[in-house]
Amino acid sequence: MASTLKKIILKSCDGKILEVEEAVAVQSQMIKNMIEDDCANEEIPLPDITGEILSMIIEYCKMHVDGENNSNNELIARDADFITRVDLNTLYYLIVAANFLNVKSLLDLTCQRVADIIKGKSPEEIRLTFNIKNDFTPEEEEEIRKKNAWAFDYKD
Amino acid sequence: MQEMSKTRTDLPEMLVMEIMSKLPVKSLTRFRCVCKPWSSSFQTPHFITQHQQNNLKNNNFNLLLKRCNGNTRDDIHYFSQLFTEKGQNFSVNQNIHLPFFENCWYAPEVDGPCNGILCLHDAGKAALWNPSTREFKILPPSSVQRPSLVDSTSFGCLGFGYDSQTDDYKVVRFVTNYFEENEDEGLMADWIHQVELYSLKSDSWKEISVPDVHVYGSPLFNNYVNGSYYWQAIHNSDYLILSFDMVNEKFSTLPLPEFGGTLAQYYLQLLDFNGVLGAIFYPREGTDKSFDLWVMNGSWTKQFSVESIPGVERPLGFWKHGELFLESSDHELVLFDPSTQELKNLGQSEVHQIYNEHEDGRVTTTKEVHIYARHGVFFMLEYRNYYCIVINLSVKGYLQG
Repeated sequence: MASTLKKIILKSCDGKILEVEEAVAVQSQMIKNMIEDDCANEEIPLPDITGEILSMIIEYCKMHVDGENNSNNELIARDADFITRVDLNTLYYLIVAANFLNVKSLLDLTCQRVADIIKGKSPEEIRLTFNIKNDFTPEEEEEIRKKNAWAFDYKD
Repeated sequence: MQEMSKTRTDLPEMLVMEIMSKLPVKSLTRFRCVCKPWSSSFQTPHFITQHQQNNLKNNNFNLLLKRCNGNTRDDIHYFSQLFTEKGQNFSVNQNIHLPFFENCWYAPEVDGPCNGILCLHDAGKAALWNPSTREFKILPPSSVQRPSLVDSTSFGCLGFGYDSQTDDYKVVRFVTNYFEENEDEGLMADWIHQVELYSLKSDSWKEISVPDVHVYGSPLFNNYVNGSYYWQAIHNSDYLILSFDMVNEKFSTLPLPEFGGTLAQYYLQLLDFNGVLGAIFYPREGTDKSFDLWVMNGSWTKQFSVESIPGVERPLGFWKHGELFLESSDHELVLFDPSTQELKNLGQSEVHQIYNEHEDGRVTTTKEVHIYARHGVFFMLEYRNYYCIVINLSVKGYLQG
């Protein structure tokens, strides 16, 4: 199907080429800046983003462009539908990519999703999740726990 | 070897903090013991601001309902943080116990909120309390010099607010010093007023000059509005309003609105209405009560009038879109929507279908909650939970520092 719409060509780190309508691509502030600086006429290499992640980001941006006339509630529902399909591992890649491409609303959405997933976890689980070494002495940690005992009640 | 364990989890620090800035305060508090860098990152002004902006954006209001059964230490005394979905059902999210002062038998009075912080006080004792983090900072005893030969000193009205110029919280307190009659020396009973001001930054009290009006009344609402605290006052038998500017630390007065009645017939409550000073008038007598709200925008104008709501006792506070929480004659919680004139009873339904677990393991049922509402000093605050979180983190630096 012929189209007069300008296409932006994106290349993922695993060599996947994706053609994206400009209106969709400019959801990324980074690409928008490149277009404005006239640097987007050739394919844009994205060194840290895989084809799979890039496709998801484009799906997200497309959903927002297509949904411009939808009500806010509809968009929120679509966002929720999009994000709940994504597992934690993929979320991290999405966060890094959304940050690199500077898609603010996607960065907010993905970070909020991770926050919602981890909010009920214990400090030990968080250390495992984020690969963090505990540098408190047992005494220091005990003191923080004691001082904030209410926060260690996992009811909600 | 180290490389092997590198997984997806190696998010840059900046992005990890982006995630953290979207957490509820309870999780954040818990995650302070994950590692030292996190603990300090959570307290940087940058993080606090980010957290505040994220959460203000969600426009998520919470409601704190002060409940009690009796008024002593052995009674249950707590705030319920109410949670609402789509403005429909209110349910109890969590219960937060009210701290008591040491050696005080009675629960403290509560003033505020100001940026999510409450001021608790009981006679000469005062404290700042952040219900969101449970931080509790007892103010030092006043160091202000009392007049010599004074027989007793009592502490009266108090005001609590924020000085945005110096980023400081201040408490202003009215003090009366009594001199008993002494026939031997031909002295009549007498008293001397003082006003003292506490600053959190300096963590000390100082004396300031006494206004020539007499303040009275205990606020149902938050009387701190946009940089000033307001009291009902009387001067030469005229009723007026006294204000205290938290920045320049000066008193001034303003008249009451010409509301078409007298304070013998009407109750007056001052309050913060969307960032400006409001005054609600409602009749002292009768069962069908009307509520008039006046606001101060350079001059007094009548904002709205709610005509004759049957079976309500008094106003408690405004909700998100101008709906008014009221206490019914049966001491239940009702919500009135002026735009639809709809009156919804919250006291009978959702609020009471909740089991409340207390810290000591007791579980109270529906019926008992209902009883608290009946016997309790029913008192409601509108409260921005997330705003609160932010302040509480920022305050952390000097509340405990």
